[in-house]
Amino acid sequence: MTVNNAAYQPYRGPLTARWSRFFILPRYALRETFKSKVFINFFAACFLPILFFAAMIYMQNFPGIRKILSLNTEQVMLVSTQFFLYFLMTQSVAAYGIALVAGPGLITADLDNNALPLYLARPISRLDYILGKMLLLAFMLSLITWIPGLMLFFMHGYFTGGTWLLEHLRLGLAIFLGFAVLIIMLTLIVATLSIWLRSKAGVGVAFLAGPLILSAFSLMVTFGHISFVVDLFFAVWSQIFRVEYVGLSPRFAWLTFALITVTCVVIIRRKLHAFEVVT
Amino acid sequence: MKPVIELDDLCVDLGKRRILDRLSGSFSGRAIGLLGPNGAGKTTLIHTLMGFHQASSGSASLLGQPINRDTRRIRERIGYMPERDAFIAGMSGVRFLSLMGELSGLPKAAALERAHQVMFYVGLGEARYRMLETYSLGMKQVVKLAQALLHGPQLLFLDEPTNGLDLPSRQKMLELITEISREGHAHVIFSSHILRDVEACCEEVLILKSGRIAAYCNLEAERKANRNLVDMEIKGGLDAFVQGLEAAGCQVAQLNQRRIKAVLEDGLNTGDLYKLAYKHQVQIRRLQFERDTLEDLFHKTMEECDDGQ
Repeated sequence: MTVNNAAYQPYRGPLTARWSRFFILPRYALRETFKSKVFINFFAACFLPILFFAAMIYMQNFPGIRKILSLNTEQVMLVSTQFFLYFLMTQSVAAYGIALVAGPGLITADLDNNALPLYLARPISRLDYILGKMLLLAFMLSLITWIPGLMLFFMHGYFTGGTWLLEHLRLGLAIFLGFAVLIIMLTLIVATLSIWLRSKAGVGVAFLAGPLILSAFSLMVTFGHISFVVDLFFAVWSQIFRVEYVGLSPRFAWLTFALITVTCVVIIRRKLHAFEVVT
Repeated sequence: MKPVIELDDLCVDLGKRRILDRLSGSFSGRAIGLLGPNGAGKTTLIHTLMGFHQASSGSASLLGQPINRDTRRIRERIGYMPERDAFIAGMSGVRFLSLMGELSGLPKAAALERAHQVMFYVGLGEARYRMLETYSLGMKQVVKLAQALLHGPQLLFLDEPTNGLDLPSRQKMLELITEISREGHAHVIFSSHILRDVEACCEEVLILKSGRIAAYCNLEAERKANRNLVDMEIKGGLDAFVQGLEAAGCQVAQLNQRRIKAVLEDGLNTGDLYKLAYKHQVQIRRLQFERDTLEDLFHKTMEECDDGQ
């Protein structure tokens, strides 16, 4: 059929399965996000630490390489729980950066241009919409966090033989869970701020200033440290990785995350509508 | 014809205010105009039928399906053009339509093909690769219509579609809407405060006032009911001519010494009037069949509502 046929004909073809439509929003949003060259460069830079950690694993497992580079054993990081914790911390900073750069525009652009009624007039729900947008951010964060983390884990396992892998399976799970907590919190907070503030710049500022404000608040009420938000994550990660940590208790950190999650869900439920009703 | 919209004591409260108050009725026209003064509840009614607002009490059905059950299935069958400026920034027109098509359930390739077709159909074929934010106001209105049409809905909700359009664009928009409803492709619910636009496109009108149904009528039937009303300017002995008309079964009102209005008896036509004038030796200098315009109907309804209150 020619595309420039002037007569209107209703569509009478088959429809896709409903479950499959959930992935349409992230797919389109992904393409829009990667239109920016600045973002592509930033995203590519987030892979550099991964290369560094991969190189460390490689050098530890191949003494010949160390010899060529004139490095002794102490100069190469030992692949252990601590090694993956360093990886977790490094990539968390990168994930925060990606969430800060790519996150705010995902939803605020739709809100700015009143696009929500266009989405919600179609067979998708508010939940599909918000999960679709969050899924994209979670996917981008996964590419620089737990996916390469597990690749490094399996790479070391491959080099050292099957026994190390079997003995440290729990470490693999910890890598995934540690990053999963981070990704869930980042995507949820970005989505909530976007819906609440409805401005890209506002979300960016709040996302930057939020941790500082929380830290100041924690100092005022005497239970906190200067880097309260970082402490929260360290407390949770230390429990997941089963390492000693002197700071906030993991229970308190989990409770705080649970409270943040509930607050975010309540805000999203109350604020995300096709039309804002002024009463 | 099966009802398009069925309302059964539908009430909608937003905050503590009642916006729609016990709306009931069954509407089945191909093109239904939704009229009413500002704040009458036109947009709220559309939003409620779309599932954007919850009914406080009562119920409603679209195309035979209750609106609060399987909303997704209903939304596959309807198209919606919002009143306000609405688009997705950073996308070309065709990509925007393609996304909307896929979200409505069209397979990827079909959505893209339909996006191109519909862009040509609405007259934006040449601008389909331009970014939406570069479109003029008129083009944005048209692309909103295009996204509502793309998936071939059985029912189209158009909320103030001619808002902000210049005369040629408005004409084009009305032509498109008329064609879609007349060709039988989709039922159209056309909400507007521009009476002339509604009159040009719609067969039936639903008039709302203060959240209630003030009138629902078939425009064609209204026109037919009034087609025997004739306004005449006469030169000569008016009294004899009036008596002659009354003798022929017409109701006559004499406006002045030269002008009369008459409701003709069924079967009496213009030729008979001229024969009667010849018989009574008067000249008919002007003869005009009158019909109530939608504006007359609207004002009459508003006055009746005010009197009722």
